[in-house]
Amino acid sequence: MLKLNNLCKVYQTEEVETTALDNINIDIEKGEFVAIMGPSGCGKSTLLNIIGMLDSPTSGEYHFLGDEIAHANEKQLANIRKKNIGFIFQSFNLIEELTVFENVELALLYNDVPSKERKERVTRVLDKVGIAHRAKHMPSQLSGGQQQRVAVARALVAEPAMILADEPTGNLDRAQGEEVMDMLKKLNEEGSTIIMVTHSPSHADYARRTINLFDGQVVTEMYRAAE
Amino acid sequence: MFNNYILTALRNLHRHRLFSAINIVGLAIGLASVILIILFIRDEVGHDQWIADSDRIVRVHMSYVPRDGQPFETVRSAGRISEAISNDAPEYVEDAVRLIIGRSNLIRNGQSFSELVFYGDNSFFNVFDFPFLHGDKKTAMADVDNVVISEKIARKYFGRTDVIGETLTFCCLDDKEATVKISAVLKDTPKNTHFNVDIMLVIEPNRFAFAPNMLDTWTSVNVYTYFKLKDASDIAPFQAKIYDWLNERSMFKERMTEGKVTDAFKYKVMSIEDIHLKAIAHSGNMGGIKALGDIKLIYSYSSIALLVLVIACINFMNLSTARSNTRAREVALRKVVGASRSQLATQFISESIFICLTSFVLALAFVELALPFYNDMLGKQLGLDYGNMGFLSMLVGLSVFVGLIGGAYPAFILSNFRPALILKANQSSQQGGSNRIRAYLVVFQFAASICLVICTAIVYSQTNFARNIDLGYNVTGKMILRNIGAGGGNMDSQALKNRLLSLPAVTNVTYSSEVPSDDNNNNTGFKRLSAGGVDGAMNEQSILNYHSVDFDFMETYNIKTLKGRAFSEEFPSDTANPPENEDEIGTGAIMLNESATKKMGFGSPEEAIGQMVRASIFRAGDADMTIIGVIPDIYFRSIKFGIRPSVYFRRTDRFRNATIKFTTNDTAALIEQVEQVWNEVAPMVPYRYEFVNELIDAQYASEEARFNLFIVFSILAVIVACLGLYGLASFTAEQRTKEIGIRKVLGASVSDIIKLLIWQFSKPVLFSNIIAWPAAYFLMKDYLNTFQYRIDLSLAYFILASILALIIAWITVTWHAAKVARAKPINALRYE
Repeated sequence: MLKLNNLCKVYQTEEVETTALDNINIDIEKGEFVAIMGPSGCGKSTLLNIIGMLDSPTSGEYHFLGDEIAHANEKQLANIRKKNIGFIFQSFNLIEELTVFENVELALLYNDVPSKERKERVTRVLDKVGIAHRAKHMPSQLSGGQQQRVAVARALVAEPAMILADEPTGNLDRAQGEEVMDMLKKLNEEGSTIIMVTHSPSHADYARRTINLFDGQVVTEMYRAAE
Repeated sequence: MFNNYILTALRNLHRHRLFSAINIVGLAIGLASVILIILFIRDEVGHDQWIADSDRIVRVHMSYVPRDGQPFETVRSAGRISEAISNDAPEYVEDAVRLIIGRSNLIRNGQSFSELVFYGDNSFFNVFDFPFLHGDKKTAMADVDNVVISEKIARKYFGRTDVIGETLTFCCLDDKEATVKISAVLKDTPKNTHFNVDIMLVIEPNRFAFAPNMLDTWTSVNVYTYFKLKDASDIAPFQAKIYDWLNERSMFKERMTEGKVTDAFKYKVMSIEDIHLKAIAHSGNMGGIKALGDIKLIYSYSSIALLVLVIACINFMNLSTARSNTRAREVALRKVVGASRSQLATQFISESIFICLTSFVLALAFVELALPFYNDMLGKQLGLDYGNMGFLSMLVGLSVFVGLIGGAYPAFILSNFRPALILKANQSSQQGGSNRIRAYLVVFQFAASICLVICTAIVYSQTNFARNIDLGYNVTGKMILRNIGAGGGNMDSQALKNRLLSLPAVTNVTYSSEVPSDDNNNNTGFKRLSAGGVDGAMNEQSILNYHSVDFDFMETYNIKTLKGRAFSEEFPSDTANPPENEDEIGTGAIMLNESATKKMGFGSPEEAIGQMVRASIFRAGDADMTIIGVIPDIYFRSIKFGIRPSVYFRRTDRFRNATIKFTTNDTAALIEQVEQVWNEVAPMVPYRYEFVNELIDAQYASEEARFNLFIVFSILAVIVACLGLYGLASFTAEQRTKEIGIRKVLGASVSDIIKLLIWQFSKPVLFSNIIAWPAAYFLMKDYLNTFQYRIDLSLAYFILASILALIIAWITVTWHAAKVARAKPINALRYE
């Protein structure tokens, strides 16, 4: 699916140079469920953003589905992104002014899906995450767990090859967190590639592989024993 | 505490440099517009107010409404009125003076210069207490051979000002060369007055022997009559007394066959302080001394300047409330540590006043930069007088007021924040309400701008239309020689004509009393001999404007004859001749324009041909003249004055101008050739030439200047509105950063985002048309109604202005939207 070779990310400010990622080499196969863990500031989010093509590496290679895209421009990245990647954020990032339905529909809107098909697919995916009954509500009327289900629905609706989740349970209570994790596990079992950043070791246990980052470097890589 | 406010204000200004710049620059433009307009208005309103006792000096204007109902109004009066009214109303009149104005040639060192000369009764300086540089008002006009000159004239002819006792020679006063002695030198007077005296001679009846209608007359209106009243409050009773005199004790009473004199004939008084702005409405300024101001112009300029300022204030309010998010935390913390709502409101209002004062300083700089161009456009010498504390503090007061108004609403919004809400979650405190109010204000700004753009386009089209209207005569290839007849009979006009005709480029030479574009105030009563009878009552004659023209005048100007024929050398009777004896009557022929035939009561031009008309056009008495031809209504004067019923006859002693019709493009050579001829034929008369097309152009110059100013202020309004829109767009983009980030993550392209933002700002602009169109429609309908010939109020102006506004708004917003849309989405979504 994707392959990172000697990937580095350096933030340059006026006085200091901060190395966020230092020589990262990772291979992720199709259908994997990978958790990225590490303390605050270790570079987890930066890594996820680069994988999600929201950010570009300073140096190194990034092969996505066989193409080298480390140096692709914004427009090319946007194109690959909208077809292949779905995002789930810690803070849900739903648009306040749009209803649940419209928020999910947005992802299809930018993929030029015809209106009728959009309706079907949004309804289907809302059903799948169990939030169909709130389709006409505004995000502010939902609980955190419900909002995150909408975000998951939005990530799924375009049927991406890969789902990136940045601390998807960070803003949720225990019960709601478990629900979201169960949903992600189910999605993985249905064939989605999932890469998730998390602080929670128990949630990392849902993943088949856990990558530990420290100071921008991969320190351990651990496969969970097959069940 | 106050230091803390200032510090916070300064840091905020610095942190949000874009907003600060938009606020300060926008407000400065608004304030500068208002200051410029205030300077203009102060000058216009202040006309003649510098004259001592200006509040109790009045001028009498005549108004005559003949039976046909078309009033004849002039700011001049008859020569005997001054004495008669003074005698009838001694309880009000302190003094009176008559004024006559003409051109004369001043001869100095063998050269002659054409100068504007004033003749006044020797009471002139009792009424107009002008400051003297040398001499005094008691002796200045004591002797008929005295002349009072201004500092400017003294410098021009002597190079110094202490010239009392020196002499000046004129050619001519009463057809004779005359030498007069300088008795006093006046300080130069300010320009904002309805007349500037440079040369003042004494009215001496003998000097006007050649023009008996000038002084010793009840009906011929050739002088300006001023009264100095005993008190400013006397104006109304004085007016009443004049009406009473007209109706009960004047000679006009005997002339009336029925009704009161004042039903048809009035002398109305007007304070000299009002002349500049109100004389046109009062009496049409026919015969006025110089071009006057227009109160309507003051109103329209003031409205535009005010609009610019209001638009700038709206920017200020919008940007301040829009930014309130970013200051929510500060407000919350201040509240937590004990600030009351009123303290916070005070803080924000002080901040906005501080911004306004900064803008004010910048506005002064803008004004200084703009003044040279502004003065050029208006033909004025306006300036900022920093020594005038009253004026300056008024301007500062205005800025503080703007700060209060602009700061009140944001202060209200900001100080109302609930600290608990803001501090609990790092959440938006933006209420939907203030968003909506911002949208309304933007709608208003654009409604005002679109309205201005529509008005500007229509005023421009109308001006252009008027500029290209058929005047009824040909203006190209015509050179004018002034000063014909100024040599006091020394000039052989036939010789001049023959010599000029021998020049190869010259095809016609014709003489006339005035040339097209010249104003003329020669009006007299014409009676139809068949209709009202010779001894018909005063209000049965038609008062008509008249011109003296030579045989080939109509031909030279390509003026077609509608009926009858033009003046011709073949008919000796075409020349107007005075009666030879007192009991005889003169002869002559006249041509009329179409309006004059109507005014005289002819059913058609044909009906007029061959009819006889009697008029008192000679000093020796009346003349009976035959109507030989009718011409169309030509625009002899500027189109804005419209058509006057006019009579044309050939009276050679009234010729003051020659028109040379030429065929060459080399006007420089022509000017030189004509000068050579002139100097041979009339060496002692100044050579003064003009071109008719330039004279016509000059008529429109002041209007064009006014119009340009209109455009400038309209553009300023649009710029300030766009500044605000730009600020608001950038703010909104900032506010929507997160949303834009999400959309981008989901695959929105840069153009998707730009479209999104542009649409958000197109809505208020489109909406503003609903206000702008009707407003512009009613304003412009009124404006166009003031023109006799006008353009249609086409929908195209409205649509084009709206499209223009939309495009400008798009450009403004796109600039910022593109920047935001291109940013990496991750920057927007970083939340830790």
